[in-house]
Amino acid sequence: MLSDLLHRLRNLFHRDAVERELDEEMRFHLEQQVDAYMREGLDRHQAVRRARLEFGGLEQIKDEHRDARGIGVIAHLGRDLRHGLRQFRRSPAFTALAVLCLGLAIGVNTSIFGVLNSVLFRPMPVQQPERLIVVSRNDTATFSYPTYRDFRDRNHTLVGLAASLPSESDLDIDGNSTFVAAEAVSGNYSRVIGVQTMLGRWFSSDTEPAAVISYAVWQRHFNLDTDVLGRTIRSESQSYSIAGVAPREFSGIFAPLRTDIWVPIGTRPTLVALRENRTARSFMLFGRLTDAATATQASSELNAIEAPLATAGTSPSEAVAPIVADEVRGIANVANRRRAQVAATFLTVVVGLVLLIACVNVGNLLLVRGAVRQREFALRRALGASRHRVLQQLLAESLLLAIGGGICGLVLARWTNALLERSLPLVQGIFPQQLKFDLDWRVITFTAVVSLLTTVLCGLLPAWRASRTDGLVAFKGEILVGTPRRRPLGLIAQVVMSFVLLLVAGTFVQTLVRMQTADPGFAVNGRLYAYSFISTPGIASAATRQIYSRALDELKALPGIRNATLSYSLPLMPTGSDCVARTSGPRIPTTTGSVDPEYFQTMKIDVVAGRTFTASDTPGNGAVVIVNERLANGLWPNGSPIGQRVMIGCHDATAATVIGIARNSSIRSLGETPQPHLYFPFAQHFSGGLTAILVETSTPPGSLVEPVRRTLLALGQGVRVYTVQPLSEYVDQSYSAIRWQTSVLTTFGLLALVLAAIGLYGVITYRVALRTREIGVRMALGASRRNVFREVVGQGLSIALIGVAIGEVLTIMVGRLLGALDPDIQPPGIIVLTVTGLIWIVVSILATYVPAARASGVNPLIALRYE
Amino acid sequence: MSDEQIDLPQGTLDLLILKTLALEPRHGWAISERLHQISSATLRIRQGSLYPALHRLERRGWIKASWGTSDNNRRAKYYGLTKKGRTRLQTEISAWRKLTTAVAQVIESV
Repeated sequence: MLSDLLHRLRNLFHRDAVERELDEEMRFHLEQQVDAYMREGLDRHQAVRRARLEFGGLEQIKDEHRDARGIGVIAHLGRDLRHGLRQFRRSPAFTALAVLCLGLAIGVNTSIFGVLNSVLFRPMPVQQPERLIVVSRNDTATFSYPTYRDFRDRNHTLVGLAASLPSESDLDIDGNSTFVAAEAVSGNYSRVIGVQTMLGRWFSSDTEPAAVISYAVWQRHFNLDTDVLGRTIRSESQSYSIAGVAPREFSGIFAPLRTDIWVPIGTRPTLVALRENRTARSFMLFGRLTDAATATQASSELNAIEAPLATAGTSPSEAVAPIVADEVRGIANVANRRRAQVAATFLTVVVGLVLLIACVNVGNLLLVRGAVRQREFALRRALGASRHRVLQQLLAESLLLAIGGGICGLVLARWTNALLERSLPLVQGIFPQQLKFDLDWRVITFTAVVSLLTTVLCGLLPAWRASRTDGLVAFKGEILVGTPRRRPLGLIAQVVMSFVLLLVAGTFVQTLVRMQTADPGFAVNGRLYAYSFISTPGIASAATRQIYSRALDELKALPGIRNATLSYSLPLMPTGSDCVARTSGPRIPTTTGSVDPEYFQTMKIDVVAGRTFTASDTPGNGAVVIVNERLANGLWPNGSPIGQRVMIGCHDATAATVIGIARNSSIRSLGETPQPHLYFPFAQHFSGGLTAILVETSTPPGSLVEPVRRTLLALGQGVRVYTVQPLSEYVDQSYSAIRWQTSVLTTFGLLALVLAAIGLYGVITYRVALRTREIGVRMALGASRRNVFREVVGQGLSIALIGVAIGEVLTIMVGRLLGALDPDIQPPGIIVLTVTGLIWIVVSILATYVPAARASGVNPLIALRYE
Repeated sequence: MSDEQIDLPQGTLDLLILKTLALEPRHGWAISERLHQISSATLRIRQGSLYPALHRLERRGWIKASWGTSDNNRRAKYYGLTKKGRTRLQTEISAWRKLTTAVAQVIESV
């Protein structure tokens, strides 16, 4: 076996030497034979002639010989590729079309795989990322701080275990506040994660009042100034001195959100109580494995450490799922990754379909070319090429196309990746997001594999057919392809796939339209909101409320402002979730919010029964709540809830009295079916933190942005103001994720449409060319131009109609899948089904128009003269 | 040239080549001459089959080629049996014997 391989290799690498030797050997043989004949008495001339005759074709022998030496496949490949290149140079239009089709499809696949890569596969940009693990249980990646301490102090499989509490926070630079994603981290964070700084150093204790800022903050707020080290910044009422700047590619553990500031965990007074609470699971844990340990060993060790503690403390239902230590890949947070994975996988399927369409397209083009080139193949077969050789040559040609497509795709992907990265920050309004969709080796490998797959997918069938060419028959001048099937399956499949993609895009458009036109159930126009925060250290919540009530008074005094109120959270972004139940009865999960008495009036959410909150609903008096209609129905299907007591809480329930029913309004997203929601009075249920001030204006709200901001800042007392904008803009941003998906899917849908239309056009044109003579005969026999035109268009149309029909049926199934992707997506309605169907029918008519016109323009005399 | 040349049955060429090389290494022409002689001019191998066969055998590691000098002082490629080739020759010979005996028995049996 080895000798065989060495032999082949020698033959391959020393081709010239081997050929020379072969030459010499043949010549020697010939001369020996000539000598022998001369000894028999022939003269030299005769001897040479006879020896030559007997010897046969010298080149032929050498060729057989090469095959026997086994260099065929590889050496031929080189020759085939060169031959293929010459072929393509001769038909640049075909080549450009094929490469472009493949390039577009491979490009979007590369791009989406880049997304998948950054979500699922790419290791963190840190030292030895393969030794970095993240701890999770049951799809949540957060643990309590006491658990962290146990794990950290008792394990032997890790070099270190770090804790990080990701949170939304504020960053205050010279009095300018911005919203940022922050991480409060243990002192060993940089050592465990394996991240350096770009400038300065990481803090290494839990309590040092120092912070590390992101590259983005350094760039935006400090102009990349190296003097930044030692400057003072503030966050959550604490002062920090900037110790370092994180590397540009490191965006923290909060992906896809970008962490902008890292602070030691011990510098946050708000975390003191949290760090002693075994039931508050808020911290993400990262570990670095020792050289000897594996992630599996770490998992089982952590489980062993936890087992005795679990039985001692927490309720059994929480401790059942095992703890898992996983290598950090893609998005570190399990829950985030799961969500992103669904979306990315879906996109992968979509672009996979686009690729299939492109493959069928190029396959069809190759079939056509194969038919046209039949004489060439027949000639080759007649000259002694085996069927195998013809097949190999054709596959080499499609390999060339795929390589061209792959390169074209990589170029395209660089561009689309940049586009995707740029559009991503818009997805979730407030916090900056950062995911890099680099073309790393994984992506490039993927593209290479896809290109090879493409070769086989689009090249094999046409090559197989063409290689079947019978040498003799094709020579008789007849192009024999067999009568093409009336409804080619490839084309129909193409129509179906592109139609389904178009319908999916249509479904998203439908959702987007529904969201844009839905009645949110609360007032949007003429409303303004301001996010604010009181950053005075250690301030009591009573004092906070006092500051806010002064703020409301001053705002109401501004010209153009009718009303102002407070809410812990804005609509469409409920921050609380809880369980609520009657004193005896099942628990209903619900979202919660704390609002000031005037919230319902300001937001035009009517209280339809009972009363609204009043100034007397203070902590001293009994706990009261307002439920929305949906929740009221859920709890008391046949009776009034007013004055009834409810138990609130999933674990330790506390009692409250229902005092009113509010009308349903959109809670999580626009256009949703009504969701249960519970309102607490702001005065009884506010413990500090970011608060929304909602304002009703009598003039356009945009003009009041600056006055509102100035008024709030003028209060002093540590009031920080973040976003101030019209509520309509906020509502607009709330469905930006759907809008992003819609635009991406629409792009892919249109791409698929164009590709499939090109395919339809190509095949119909080809069929018309094949049938030129037949059409000529029919016209000579009296068929009118209109008849011919109609028949050709009818052919394309029937293919489109069948495809659309199958596609509509398929979509009923796909529609359900989409619901799993995003609960806001509903199956396509009749309008979407009709419009997309019509689009395809119009496109199919357009695609067949040119060939149909050509067919009806056939001159019978000329067509028949071919005979 | 004799008219009584016959076509070689499939697969026997390898055996014949190996056999001619059993005594000493030879070059291609010598192999074909030798076969011609000892078969009393019944067997003549086409050069077009000989050389591919030689290289096939070489690839399988049964014979080994080396450049040497011929009787008339010309550079020529000599083929010699390898150890593997010798074993192969024995197997082929015994297989051939079995086959011919069996065929002969069938022919004589009537």
